[in-house]
Amino acid sequence: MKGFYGEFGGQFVPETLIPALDELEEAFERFKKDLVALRELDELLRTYAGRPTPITYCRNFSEKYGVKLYLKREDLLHTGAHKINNTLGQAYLTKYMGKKRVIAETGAGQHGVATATVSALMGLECTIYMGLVDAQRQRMNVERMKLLGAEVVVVEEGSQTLKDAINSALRDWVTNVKTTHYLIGSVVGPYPFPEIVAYFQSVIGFEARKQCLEIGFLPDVVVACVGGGSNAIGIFRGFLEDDVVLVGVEAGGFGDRLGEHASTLSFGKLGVLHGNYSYLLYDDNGQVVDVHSISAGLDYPGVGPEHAYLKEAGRVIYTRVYDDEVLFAVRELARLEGIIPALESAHAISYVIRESENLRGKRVLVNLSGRGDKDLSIILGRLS
Amino acid sequence: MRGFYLIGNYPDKDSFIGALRLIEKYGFDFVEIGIPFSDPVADGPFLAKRAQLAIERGVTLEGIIKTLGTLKLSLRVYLMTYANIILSRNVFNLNRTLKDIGIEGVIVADLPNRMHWFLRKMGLDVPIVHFATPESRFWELDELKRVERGFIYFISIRGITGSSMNLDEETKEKLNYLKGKTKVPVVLGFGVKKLDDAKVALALADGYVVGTEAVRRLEEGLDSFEGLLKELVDIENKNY
Ligand SMILES: Cc1ncc(COP(=O)(O)O)c(C=O)c1O
Repeated sequence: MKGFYGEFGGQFVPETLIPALDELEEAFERFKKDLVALRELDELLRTYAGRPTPITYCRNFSEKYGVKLYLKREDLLHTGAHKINNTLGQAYLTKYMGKKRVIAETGAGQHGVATATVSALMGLECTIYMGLVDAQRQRMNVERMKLLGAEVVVVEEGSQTLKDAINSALRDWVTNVKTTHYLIGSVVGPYPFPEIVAYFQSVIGFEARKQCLEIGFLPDVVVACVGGGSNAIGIFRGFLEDDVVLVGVEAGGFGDRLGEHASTLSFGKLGVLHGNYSYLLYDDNGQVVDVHSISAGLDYPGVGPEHAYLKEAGRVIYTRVYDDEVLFAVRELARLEGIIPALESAHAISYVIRESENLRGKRVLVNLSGRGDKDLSIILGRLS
Repeated sequence: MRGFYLIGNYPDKDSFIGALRLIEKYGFDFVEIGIPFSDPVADGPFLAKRAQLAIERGVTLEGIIKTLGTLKLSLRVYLMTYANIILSRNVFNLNRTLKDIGIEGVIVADLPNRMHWFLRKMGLDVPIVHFATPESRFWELDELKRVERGFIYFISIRGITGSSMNLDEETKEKLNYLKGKTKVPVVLGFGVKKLDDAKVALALADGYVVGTEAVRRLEEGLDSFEGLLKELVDIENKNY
């Protein structure tokens, strides 16, 4: 069914937004066939964002852990994370639709910075919603967004994290739908957003596959962290048809009880949040619960509907790692390879360390979705 | 079709029941009873805050159903909530309960017309109220002529609850077009707060629902709430 991945997805939004979703879908379909537009976006990705990103073989790590670790270096992109792949694409769509203002939510601040960046580049007015807790723990990114000319609205409702930032952005959108595009940052929200974001992020996977083949292999395992799920879908889409094991790693937080983690696919039930039917963490009364992760970008009680589908279909294995393991992984990658990963991406590294016995001798490709500069104060605070 | 939105069992069960009795006494037609949800994206700051307070005070769907089950109301009762509140229950059983206590229909703020089938498939067969909005396209308004029961909820503004009513010409035209098409009443909601709004709603549509203002006045007390009912009913000069 259109708008669904198996039984997951849909358009669970106020009626007022339906025409805007239709308009967006039409623009997206037109865009995909517009060779001139596609070439322009390609050019931007190359000359502005820094694509293609390299694949790095981690010699020291591989020696220590007995796993052949390769990194897809999305951390080297302009603004420091994979998010720019999607924001460039959607900013282009915004222009295409003749809209002049964009709004976005952000958790870690990476999507906010990427949105503010492309808004500056393309002359769009930009408002970013960010929960108070996240604005405090990712302060540097708040300053970056402001410097780039965006308005940053700090959200003090609910858990004051990503979920509440999305609520506020949706309310803005319902009110200003005529002039504004909601530039969603992950494969969440109502259709066609999960598909649009996946499309723009799939450049990671197709590029990585080609690069691996050029080196002369296909990985045995591909690993990515999962918040809303965009960097994971982005790399997975390149390998769905191959005989490659795909692993998505969620935030295990500090424990397995409701409220201590953000492991939606491990512990969630089926439900609706922010426009789609997918796995979701909620209590017996149907209320979405507060979740926890050391990384703001994974601190979200929902997950994109395509991941729910890939889990049900058995195509992707979903698991979780704990905050402490993540910090250890940050230090390991820093000391062994001279690469400081974002806390989000370190979840994927952490999985490889934990499973190194089982992965011995295997070629493992990790999506290093972002760099850790933004997390320095959290990392130093926790490691000392 | 004149009605009010209240949050179930809020600010407390007794005031809630008292308010229902008053709405009945003054001859209004229906109530929408809100089941609070943690992430109410169609609600403005006032009702979003109240939803959070209600949840903290232990208001649940089951508790509200229990209250309604004990009352014999001459009002038409609709439940208003978000999709996850319904989906998180055994929908078949919930459907039976809603029928047993005589619920007229449900209004689901994040379930647009084209997604009704989803809850139907899960076993909900009480009527689901259809929406129209200032953004609705004419072909969508045409489709609403198929609605056989209840009413059509016309959301008066692009926006969230608690905003002010402000119907532009295009919206008035759509409202008028819709009225010419449908068999059921068209009720205006979002932004109806005071008498002037109600008058506009009765002139352009077939009724209204007062939401934010009703919850606010009930929080002030039953007297203040009764004052609101009187203000609205006197000028309409229909029942008194
Ligand atoms: C570096 C990085 N990786 C991953 C994520 C999580 O998002 P997603 O699951 O959509 O890739 C974020 C979100 O802020 C991020 O900044």
